[in-house]
Amino acid sequence: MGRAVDEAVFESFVRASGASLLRTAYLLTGDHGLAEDVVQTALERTARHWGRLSGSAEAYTRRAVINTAHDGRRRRLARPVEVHAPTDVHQSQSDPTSMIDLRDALVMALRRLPPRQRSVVVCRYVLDLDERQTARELGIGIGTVKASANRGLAALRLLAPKLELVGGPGGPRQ
Amino acid sequence: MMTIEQQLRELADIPMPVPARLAQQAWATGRRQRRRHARFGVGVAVLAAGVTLGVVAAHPALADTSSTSSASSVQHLPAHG
Repeated sequence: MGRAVDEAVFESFVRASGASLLRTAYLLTGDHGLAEDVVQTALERTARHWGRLSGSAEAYTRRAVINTAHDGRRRRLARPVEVHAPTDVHQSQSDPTSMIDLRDALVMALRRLPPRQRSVVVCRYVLDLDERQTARELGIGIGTVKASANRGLAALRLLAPKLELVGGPGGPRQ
Repeated sequence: MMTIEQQLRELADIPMPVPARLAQQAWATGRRQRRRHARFGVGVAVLAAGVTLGVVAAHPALADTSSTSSASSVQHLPAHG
């Protein structure tokens, strides 16, 4: 395949998968700017191996996103932890912006999970991968996926107990 | 009432604008890195060849492939009978 054709195929791949990869990076890092850096790094790795990739380019890049997000987190551990004021989703649930508040509260709660639990929860429930795919994606056993998913959900319920009381786009559904 | 699992699934709908030049920048950087890796490979090969030639120049006997150790030792064996 010619270089120009390779580049065109790569660009169409980024157009098709970019949003999903960015979303994954955002949910893993909790920061838009950082998510863009993570995706950029992962895409550079994919571009370097383009033409020699065995299997799905999206799966390869997603693994690179997860690894880069974790590596970045390790590097940032020395920095002081940023403190966010918790969003009171209960107060704002009748407001049209309540769903955004709710989403932000969930993203913030996700950010407080340990990295492996967060990755498992994002793969299982946001990306909708099954246990086997999640295990393959993260390079861990199926038992670890099950345990991390259970612990992650339990931790989310503790971190954001009001989230389960709030309804969907139409408001509360209690 | 929505469960945590359902709310997590809704996160898959967060609109995420992809920066316009993300693909071009990643492609350009990736290609530059690939070229750098290739140049590094060539550099290592040239260095290895140079070291080999240097060693052979210092010890010409190593380059003499016509007389193997076993053949030369056979030639110098004293003849019996």
